[in-house]
Amino acid sequence: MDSLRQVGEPELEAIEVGAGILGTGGGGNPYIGKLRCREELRRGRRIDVIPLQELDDDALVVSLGGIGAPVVGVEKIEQGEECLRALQALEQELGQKIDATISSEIGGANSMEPMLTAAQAGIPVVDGDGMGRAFPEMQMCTWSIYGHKSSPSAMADEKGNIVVFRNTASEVWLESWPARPLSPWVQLPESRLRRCEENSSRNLPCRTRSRRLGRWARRFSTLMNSTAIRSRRYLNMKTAVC
Amino acid sequence: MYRIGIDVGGTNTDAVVMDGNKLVLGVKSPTTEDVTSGIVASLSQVLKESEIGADQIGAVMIGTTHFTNAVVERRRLSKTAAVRLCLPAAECLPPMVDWPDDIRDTVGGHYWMAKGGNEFDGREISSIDEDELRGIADEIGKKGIDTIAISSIFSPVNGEMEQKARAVLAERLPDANFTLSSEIGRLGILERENAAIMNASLRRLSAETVEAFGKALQSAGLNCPCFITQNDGTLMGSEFVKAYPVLTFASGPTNSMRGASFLTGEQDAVVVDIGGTSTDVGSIIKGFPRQASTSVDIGGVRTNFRMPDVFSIALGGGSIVEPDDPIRVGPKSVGYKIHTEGLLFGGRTPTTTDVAVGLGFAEIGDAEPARKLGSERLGAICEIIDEMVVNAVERMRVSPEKIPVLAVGGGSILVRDKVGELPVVKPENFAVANAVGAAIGQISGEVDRIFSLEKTSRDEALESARKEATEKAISAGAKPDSIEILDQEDVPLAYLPGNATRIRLKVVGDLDG
Repeated sequence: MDSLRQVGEPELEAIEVGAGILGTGGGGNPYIGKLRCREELRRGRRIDVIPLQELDDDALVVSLGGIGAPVVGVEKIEQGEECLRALQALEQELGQKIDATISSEIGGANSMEPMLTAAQAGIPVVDGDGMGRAFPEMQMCTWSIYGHKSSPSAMADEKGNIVVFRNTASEVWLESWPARPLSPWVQLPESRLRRCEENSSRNLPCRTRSRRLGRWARRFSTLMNSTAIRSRRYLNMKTAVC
Repeated sequence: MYRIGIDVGGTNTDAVVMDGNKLVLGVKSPTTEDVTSGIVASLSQVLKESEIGADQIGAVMIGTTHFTNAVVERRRLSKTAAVRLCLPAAECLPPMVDWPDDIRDTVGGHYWMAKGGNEFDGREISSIDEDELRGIADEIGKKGIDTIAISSIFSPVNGEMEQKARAVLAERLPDANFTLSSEIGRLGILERENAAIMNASLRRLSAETVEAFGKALQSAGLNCPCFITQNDGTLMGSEFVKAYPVLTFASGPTNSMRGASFLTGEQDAVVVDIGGTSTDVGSIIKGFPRQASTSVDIGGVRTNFRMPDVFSIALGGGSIVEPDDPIRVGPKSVGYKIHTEGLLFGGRTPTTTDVAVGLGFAEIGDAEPARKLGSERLGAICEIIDEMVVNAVERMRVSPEKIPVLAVGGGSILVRDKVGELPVVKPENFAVANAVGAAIGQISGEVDRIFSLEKTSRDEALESARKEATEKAISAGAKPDSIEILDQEDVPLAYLPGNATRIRLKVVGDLDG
């Protein structure tokens, strides 16, 4: 499998489709996240992807993404730097720089946020994730199943509110903090590389896989994303015949 | 009284006269640059040939792809100011961020983001800042823009902020026209905002076009009411179209599918509309076009209207055939030039129609030049055409039953008695199905308001909304026993006391008489 080292616009398009498939019917639409990543690229930022093996042994990796109802996310789009603010709050709390981001879930809308934040923070995103698809709860990540505890962690909203959780009773409790589906943005905790490697290896390298799946799907685009493509064909017939 | 249905297409303007449920006559004439003279020509022709006096026509229904074409061709769109109430949220993706560059340039790409917007539960993200809006109004004025689209986060749940912003902007810009996103679309800020901006940019064209339609009717001596068909196959009055031209975007395929269903009497079928350049395939379920379940792109711009699910392929009666190996059919077409370029008319370009004529499916022009390709070659090309149609039909087919394929449009000579295992039905007047679809446009009644569920159940509230909408439809001229629910949606409003819910419900019925 050719490994993905940098994400440009063509890779984004492929990952969008792949993440949609890996969302397996849930996890929200990666479309808005794709647009946001694209805007970052057009502003001149880079999305670098790093294979897990290339990280230092003591590298500090955080998983991040949004919690809440995806239906809210298509209407109330984020301000844009929520996760970056949460990531910086966590660095402050730990007194240490974060080396890379990783997806908790590669499926659905949360496939994009780690790439976006990595680009904003100037760090790479790890070619891997915590579940290989989209799942309903954070505690279903491989690393959580292997006993990883998500504290400290941080949460930020569009208005400038930031919360750092020094200790949470369990992963379930952490996730129940945003008690209503407000779609706040959660910065999940540090994951030391070793644990990351032990526990997420079977899901690796998911970002590459997502892109491959996306590329494959685009080749068979008649199967995917059908209405948009169909209707575009219908309505664009005058300008471009597909 | 008789009714006239008109379809103003990119190539032809078709007109039909209907007597109740009976098609009296249909004619085709070329669409003209000014639209009006093409309609006048069609109207005069259809009145003359049917020998029906202008005073016997009770209503004229027009279906048009004029506004869709304007967007697709990026023509005649007004410069538009997009104002979004959202900050600090949604700052990362400004209005028109996902538009193709050429159409963004055509409408000017001017946008402003301001404080405002609601949370999902109706709380404010931030309050409206009137001074900020006045400043924006001044900037819009300085740019000389008088067409404004306003969007606000969660405005389908609470549209007050958009209305308030309109009032503030209108104080400084009294001559501007406004489109509010809450009046147009559903949840999904980018898609709804896109539709609002496109609507705003089309309003000038819409006003001109509606006026042109009126003049055309007058010139033909008609003084009856004129309606325009919208996406769901129902009719809109002229004033409404002036304000909401985007609501006509999908009327073309809707009219063609409903017309095909009407002409054949089939309620469940796959409709194949083969034109000169392309083939549109859609499904009819219980007489209505099956709706797309995801977002729909119009000219590269994403929207979330309810629209029929249509799959298009580049195959038409004018598609150019490359007869030598490897055989290719389309995507290029000679289009309306088939009358000079096609082999059967003495031209030099082999087309799909030449193949059909060469194989004896139809008798048009001179079959001899096509036959020179040899029957084996013609058969091989025909197989490719068949495969294209079968694939498209199978993709849109949602029933395991052997439902019929309804073939309409000028290019439908390309299909014969079967598509795969499905039988083909070709109505007698297959070429004017769109105009028939417009003529049978239905009258609707709509209710969109907030109901309290404190003392009634949801079912009771829906029932009373249905009754109210039905009464509206009947008073607008619908036949009472033909009324059915077309669309129904309820959104619980968590922020209002008394267990409130917003119910949107639309019923339709046939025009009485």
